[in-house]
Amino acid sequence: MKLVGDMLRRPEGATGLAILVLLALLALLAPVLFPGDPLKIAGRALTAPFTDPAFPLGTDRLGRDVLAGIVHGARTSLFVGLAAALAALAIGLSVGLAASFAGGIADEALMRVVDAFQIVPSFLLALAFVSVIGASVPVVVLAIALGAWADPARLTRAEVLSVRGRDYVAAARIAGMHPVEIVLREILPNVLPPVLALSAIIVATAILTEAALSFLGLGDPNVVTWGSMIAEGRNVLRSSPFLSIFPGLALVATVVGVYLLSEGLTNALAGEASVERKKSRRAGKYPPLPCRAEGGAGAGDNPPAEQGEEGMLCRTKNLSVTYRGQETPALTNLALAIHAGERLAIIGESGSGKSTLARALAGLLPEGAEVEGTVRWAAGAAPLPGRDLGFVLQDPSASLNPVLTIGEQVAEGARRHLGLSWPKARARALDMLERVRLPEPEKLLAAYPHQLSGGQRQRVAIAAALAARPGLVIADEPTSALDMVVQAEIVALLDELVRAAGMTLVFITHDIALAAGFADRVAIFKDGALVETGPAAAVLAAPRETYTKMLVASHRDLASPPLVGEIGA
Amino acid sequence: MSLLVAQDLGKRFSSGGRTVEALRDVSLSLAAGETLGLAGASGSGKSTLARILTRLVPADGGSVRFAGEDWLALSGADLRRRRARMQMVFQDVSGAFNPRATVADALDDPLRIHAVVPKGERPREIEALLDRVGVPAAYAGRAVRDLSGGQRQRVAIARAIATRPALIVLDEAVSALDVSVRERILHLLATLQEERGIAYLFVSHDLAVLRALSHRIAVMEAGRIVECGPAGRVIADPQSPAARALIRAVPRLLPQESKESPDGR
Repeated sequence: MKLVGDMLRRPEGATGLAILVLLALLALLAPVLFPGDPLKIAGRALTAPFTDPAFPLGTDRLGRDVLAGIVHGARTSLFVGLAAALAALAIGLSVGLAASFAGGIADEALMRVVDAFQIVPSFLLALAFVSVIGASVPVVVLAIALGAWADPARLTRAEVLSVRGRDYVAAARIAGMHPVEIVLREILPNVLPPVLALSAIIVATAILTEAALSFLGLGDPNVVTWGSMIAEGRNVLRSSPFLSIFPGLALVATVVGVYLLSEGLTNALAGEASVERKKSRRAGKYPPLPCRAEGGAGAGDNPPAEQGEEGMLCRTKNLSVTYRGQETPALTNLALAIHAGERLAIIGESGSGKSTLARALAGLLPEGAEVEGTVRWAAGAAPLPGRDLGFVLQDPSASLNPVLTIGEQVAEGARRHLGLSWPKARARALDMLERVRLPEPEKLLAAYPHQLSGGQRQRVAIAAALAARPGLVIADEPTSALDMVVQAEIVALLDELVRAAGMTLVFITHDIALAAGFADRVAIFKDGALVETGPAAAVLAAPRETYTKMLVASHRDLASPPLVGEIGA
Repeated sequence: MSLLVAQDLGKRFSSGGRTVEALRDVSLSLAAGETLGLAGASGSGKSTLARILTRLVPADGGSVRFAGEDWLALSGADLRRRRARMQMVFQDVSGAFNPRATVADALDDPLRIHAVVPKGERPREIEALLDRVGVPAAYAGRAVRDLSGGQRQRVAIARAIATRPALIVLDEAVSALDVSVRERILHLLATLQEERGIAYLFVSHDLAVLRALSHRIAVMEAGRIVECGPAGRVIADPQSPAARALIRAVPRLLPQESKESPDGR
């Protein structure tokens, strides 16, 4: 499996596995290495470690070989740990699967049982179980499993519910796949990895619980365990501390090994997920970061724009941006000027670098992005997001904070940057909500984002972006998540507000016609480079570059010839 | 003779004590080899309708006849077997494939389940399908998620035509694609229809895209079909406010009406 390979390539995963393989080998070879019963008296009592080659780690009060005990004890520890974790996993998976697939009352009932088991401290449960039924290895395994199955059950259920709603499961049903096969091939393989990562921790917990039970004298008295060895040494802890220290070290090494392995597994899983996430990175997730460009955006003391550039708001020179871990730059050698008060549309398909430009202008590039070239601002310093620059993102459900009211989010910018008191900022927020034409703005102030539709949320996001009267507004695909009717409304609104306030608008879109509707100037991007720029009407009516021609030709509106004829309808 | 006839379909969703009528008395018909465009804003019920017709979601009421059978009455093995006749292409090109699947896996499933060709010929059939949708056969061994959005949607179309269906439901199948890619996918769909006589139910909020493929267009609003007619007629002479709003919303590359200030500043 690819996941295992990924895990082994990470140092923590490889180290963890090495430790565990070594311990497992010792445990397996114990009868060969130390034949005979490790509980039998082998030599003189209390031999100090490293003194007698026959007993490298010494002997205990009864003259039993400590090393033989540790090696044989590994059998018990590993066996009980693995068996208990397997049992917990089996119960947890079954209950989680049953609950998620049964749904309804059965789901409710099973999950309440899970709740009950999660509330009761698992060690107390194991303790009670063993003291009532009596100590033996199978009972200890069962006792530990009883306290550990609830977590995997809950995780399995949550994962199944999430995976089951995915389109690929729908696609499998459409393909006519048998329900059992859907579970085995489409759902389980995508549910198991996170459950497996959790199960490593269950193994560690089980090993520790077993040791604790043995330490308290509740382990199987007929086998040697690390817990019972530590307990045994406790009586002579002052004179012969090694009797407790050596099995203690073995215990620590095992648990550390298991945790390292689990860490490697979790990281390998996260690495897998991050590949998927990379494509949908949103600027808003990252803290503002000043450009490192020399004399560039971040520096407060760089000179204002050169003479003869009147009306210039910002000019980039040789601007290149490379994201961390990427070979090719997302933006290369960009030279672009933004004029004060204009409406500039940045047009490009996926991978064109248009969003990277937006983030670079706003100082929102993710950490580790390499920036070359300069961004010169007429004002001298880079605009402060929120005060000088408003940013409207594609997905309003992700850019608005779900736990703050609409009023708080719109008023925040005005309060912070216009220095308004809360009541005044509230009045400003109310005014903004009226301007973006949301119904019942007074009521909305106290509402939360989830109570609004997508289009209404985007209106709120626009109100919040404009509340502090920034000079520059950057809108990054603000309508791509919305349907066309709402899109037309939002674009008209944004255009009108920006015009009325005399702001500069940088509108980023993949839709050349949408931009054509209101932009003064367009800049066409492809593969991280600027292809063509000029007045919107001129570029769209007579594109110079092949790529722009292709974009214009690919555009489809109601006047475009259909690809099918009308049949008798 | 219609391929599909739906009558009085209804669907309610209830969440948190509120009941939403997602579909109300929806009736439509679709002839073999025809494309019916289903237009509507978000929340108008068009995706719910698509998922009821593909039997992903049960209907609360109404009936569907598909290929001469009571489509909503089918269940179990009968339904699974008949599913070969009605396929679907999804909007989200990354979510429509098992994250572990290779291109060959994705195409092998329908061929195997419906025994479209003998087992030994499946690799050849996969190659032929890929060739038909314009994906290099060498991509068969690649993970679907390593492909670009346009290529993934081509694989999704190959998967849909693998079972030789009579009807494919296209649920916003080109909405997430770049315009240049979108245009090529639309052409591919048009050619496939011509070659194989497949009917499409094409769901989209973009009337311009619907116009490209649709013979007829139905406009939905608040769970009802408010207008239905030949595509050209609906666009030239819309009767309902919903259709007029959708038409107004389509961006035009070179607006007829002169702009207020062409040069801005």
